[in-house]
Amino acid sequence: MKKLLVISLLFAGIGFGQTVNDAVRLALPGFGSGARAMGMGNAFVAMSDDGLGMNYNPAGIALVRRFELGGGFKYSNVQNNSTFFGNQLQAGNTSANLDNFSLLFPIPTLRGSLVIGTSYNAQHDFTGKMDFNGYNRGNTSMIQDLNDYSEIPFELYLTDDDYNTKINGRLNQAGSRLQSGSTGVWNFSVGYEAYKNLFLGLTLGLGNGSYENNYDYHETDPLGVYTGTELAPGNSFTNDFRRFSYKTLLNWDISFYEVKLGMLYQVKDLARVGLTIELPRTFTIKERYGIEAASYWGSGREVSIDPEDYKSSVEYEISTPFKFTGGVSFNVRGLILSAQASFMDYSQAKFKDISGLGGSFVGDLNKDVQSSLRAVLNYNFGAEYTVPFVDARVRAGYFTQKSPYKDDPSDYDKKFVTFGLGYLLDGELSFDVAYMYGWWKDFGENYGFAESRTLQDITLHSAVFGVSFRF
Amino acid sequence: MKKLKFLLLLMIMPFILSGCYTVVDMGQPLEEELITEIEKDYEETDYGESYYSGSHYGGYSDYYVLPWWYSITPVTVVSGGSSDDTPTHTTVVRKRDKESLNLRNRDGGRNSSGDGTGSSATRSSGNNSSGTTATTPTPTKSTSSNDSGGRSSGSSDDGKKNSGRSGSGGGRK
Repeated sequence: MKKLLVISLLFAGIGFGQTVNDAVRLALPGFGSGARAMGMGNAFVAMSDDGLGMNYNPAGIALVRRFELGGGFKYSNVQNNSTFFGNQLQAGNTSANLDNFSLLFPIPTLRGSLVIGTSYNAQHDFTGKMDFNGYNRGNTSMIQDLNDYSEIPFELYLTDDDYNTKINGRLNQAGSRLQSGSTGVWNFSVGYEAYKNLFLGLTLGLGNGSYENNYDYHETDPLGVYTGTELAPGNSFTNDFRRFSYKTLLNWDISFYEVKLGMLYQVKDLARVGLTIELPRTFTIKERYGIEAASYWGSGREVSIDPEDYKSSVEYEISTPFKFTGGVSFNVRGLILSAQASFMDYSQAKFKDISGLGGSFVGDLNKDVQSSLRAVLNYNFGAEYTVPFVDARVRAGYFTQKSPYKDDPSDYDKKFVTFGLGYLLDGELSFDVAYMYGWWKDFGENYGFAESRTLQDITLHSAVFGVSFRF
Repeated sequence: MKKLKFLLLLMIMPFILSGCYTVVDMGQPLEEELITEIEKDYEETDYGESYYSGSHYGGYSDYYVLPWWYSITPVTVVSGGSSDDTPTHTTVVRKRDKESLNLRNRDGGRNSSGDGTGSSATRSSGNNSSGTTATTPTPTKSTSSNDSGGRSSGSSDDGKKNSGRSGSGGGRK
């Protein structure tokens, strides 16, 4: 009976490993795209008067009067300082990506403005790395946790024939989690002046990307707690347990589409007001998931599972909620101040099965999303000052991305400061650079709830370089 | 299929949108009423209200403000005599020259007598395919000015106001 239960849980726990975190990963806004916007803390909804507008507020592109060709690259460095049972470890990972590319074509008008364009904008950057290592004095372990819903400990001789294990915590736990991948979107936009100084815009985006999560976990018995204990009775080599190794590899192929509506009103040369509505984005995910696990014994014996038995391939959709953004910018003698707020209710994210997950599993997952996530209001602030005699600009910004998880303290909100510089050459060629520093806290569970938790201090350094040419 | 629909929608969007406030210049004949409306609106438009106009934005003014289908004609030469104390100004005029760019002459054949006095197109490229001609006067520049003349950066606040609404008639072509 237990075996039946284990088999059914195997499918639930191994084959269908989707969690709320998967929805959060895609629903979170990216860190912005474009050197000018990033330099201003991505407070760009009430600006958007260049190719980046297709990504921020398509109405803004109607303010562009010349052809524009632009592009930029981004380099990011994520550092993760983890604390695990009192031990601190530092790990980092870097990424270099095409950040943006844009082409704008203003159509000649007798009155008003009509601009069409296309752009590529980086969206998510999944880059991350975490190492952890600590001795868990508690009576829990990954082996015990897996034994509740899989046959892995049984196959590795870590249990008796009735799936009972003598392992009862008190193991050293170490490992790493390496994350990589990104998404980007191709936008097709149109912006026009619907009434004098009132601009409307629409962006249709087609995106794709990938995500890889490589998790490596080990449990060892440095104090010899289980030395002399035959974990699988009748198998004498199991009386000297040394190490349990568990690796998972998650691969996503991601495709999605999005629709963004924008409005921008210009109040003479004094101020602009911008509004955008981002319709729910639907991500289609083709997922491949695999597990490798092994046990190591004092006799030098190593036992492994057959990875082919623990592979799964499923396809499903995650739709993210509406996003509403409102912003205002003020123009004061060469100084532009910009601020915006974005509202998003993460609890409205939804999973939808395409093949392989099953309706009831998806239903439970959506209940989890609803009960564990919340609505948030994010803020962006930015400033840009033009030094007219040298045609240069300096920028600074600050923005937050609140944690989507209910009850998370403010330490878990992402906070960013940004700086930027711009220089205009011959009135046509604009060079822009931006630097962004972000910091926040996070935690991760190896298994269970607060039984093997990594507390993480994360910092992000990111630099963007962009060029745009207007002619 | 979804991609195709997106692209199709985007392609027809300009034609749907044209005719609201925005009037796309396709060389089309315009109705009398619309011409009047456009001209009235043009007179009321203060291009000095652009977000980036004026001396505060230097070369960025043109970067943002000047449409690609306009040419730049720097005019208004104020040498200020021989006194070095007198500031010099070079103002770039973006305003359409009503003498040569009368929208009413776009109405498909009226004034098509060939006298050329009122049949210029608004494009600077001089495309004659619609039977119109574009005239771009030789840029004039103050001999005492150090300004390159290619920017709308008036060197004073007055320049900001004048950047789009000069009545000198030098002509945005």
